[in-house]
Amino acid sequence: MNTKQIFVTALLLAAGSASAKELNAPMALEASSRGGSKLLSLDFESDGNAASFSFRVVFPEGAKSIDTSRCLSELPKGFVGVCKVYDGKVVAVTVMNTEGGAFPAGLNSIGKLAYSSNSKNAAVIDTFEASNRDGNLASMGVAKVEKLD
Amino acid sequence: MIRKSQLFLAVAALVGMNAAMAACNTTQWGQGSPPGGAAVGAPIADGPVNSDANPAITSRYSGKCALRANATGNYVQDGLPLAEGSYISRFYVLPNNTGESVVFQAMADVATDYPIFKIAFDQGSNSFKFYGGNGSGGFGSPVSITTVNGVAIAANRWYMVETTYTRGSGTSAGTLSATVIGNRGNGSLTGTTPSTANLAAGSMVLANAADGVDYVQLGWVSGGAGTSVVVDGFESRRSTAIGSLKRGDANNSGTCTSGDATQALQEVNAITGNNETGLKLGQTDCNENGSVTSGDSTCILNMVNADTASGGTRVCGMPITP
Repeated sequence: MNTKQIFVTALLLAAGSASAKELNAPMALEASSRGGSKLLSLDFESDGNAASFSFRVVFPEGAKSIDTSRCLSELPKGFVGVCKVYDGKVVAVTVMNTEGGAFPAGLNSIGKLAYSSNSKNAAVIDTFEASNRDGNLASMGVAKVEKLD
Repeated sequence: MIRKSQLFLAVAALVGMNAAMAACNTTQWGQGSPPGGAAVGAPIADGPVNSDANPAITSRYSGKCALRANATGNYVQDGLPLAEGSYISRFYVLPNNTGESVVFQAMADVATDYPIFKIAFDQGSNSFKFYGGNGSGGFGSPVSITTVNGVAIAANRWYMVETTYTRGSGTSAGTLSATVIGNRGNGSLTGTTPSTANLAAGSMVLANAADGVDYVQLGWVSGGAGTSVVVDGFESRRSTAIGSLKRGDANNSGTCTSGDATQALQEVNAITGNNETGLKLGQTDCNENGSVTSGDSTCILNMVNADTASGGTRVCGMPITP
């Protein structure tokens, strides 16, 4: 478990959202640097049965230069996906497994989104679903974006 | 597959899958005892694998089976209508004929039966043509649909055809409105606008003012030559538009999710392995090109991605309407 995973796990524990049985949910950690550059690390919390998911990242007002080039760069082997900017302010991330497998239980890295914004607000994740190996909807937790200032 | 609606006139599932026999069949046709029976000629109930008790391989749009005609004069009939003055029907067709072939015909069952209207696919002009009958077996000039969302209609692609017939009063007040959508490919992920055409009053003539739709014929009814006409997804009503099935909804849940992409991929595997039980019950042929491949899984993944970006205002590429 790397530093980021430890940090996110700690946040989940602090929020009381980590139970004995993990639910499926996208997570993101947003780091800011001077000049308004922001890096959003995308993760997926899996209950061990989720084989695909889709969610939307809504950026704060005034966000620009959204970079999706590393959006899916950390997906585990066997997963493919689509990461696309819509209307210059929304990114939709859709991922599936092509080998009949599922995400391992726990936190799985997806990739990173970079953008720039002077807003104090973080990006928001909504419109989320996940499905199991059979293509049926899986149980879902609460999507979350944490700011790392 | 079986379509149900509180408003339905005829639940005429195009072809069913008998669970015990694991075979496609046409047993739900012929209700209402249409003249000539359930099937005329020898249309083939079949699916995309040959483990379904039929060695042929047939594309289908929804469910596990469709109806294939390999020559003109092979079609099924539904006799549930009864002198209907208002008749709405919807079907899917994958026309692979040459020349002009009638794929649907609505008939009046009187002393001498005659067609009230017919729908043809004309491969020569790549168009769907809608003809009104003249009350004595002939037809007037057709109206045509040649494009869907700016793309020319093509043979060997899936299209939905929905028509609404209204008799009106007298013998020549009947109207027909037609809607066609299909062959949306891998790129049309945010909805396409159906194309429409209308036969105005005066375009259809009844022999008697009380005549109406008594039975319908679906398949390769007449005309043309070529390889085949495949039809699927038939439904009819007296009122309320039917609309298209949700393309990409592999498990027929009414929505499109990332799981439907997974299910489409599972179906590709089943088709490759010639395994009928692995076929899905929804609409896996996302790009509507007549075959289910890994490209359809990608198509669904892209469509779900676009749906997700809409924040819940679109499902399966189409706007959600209240």
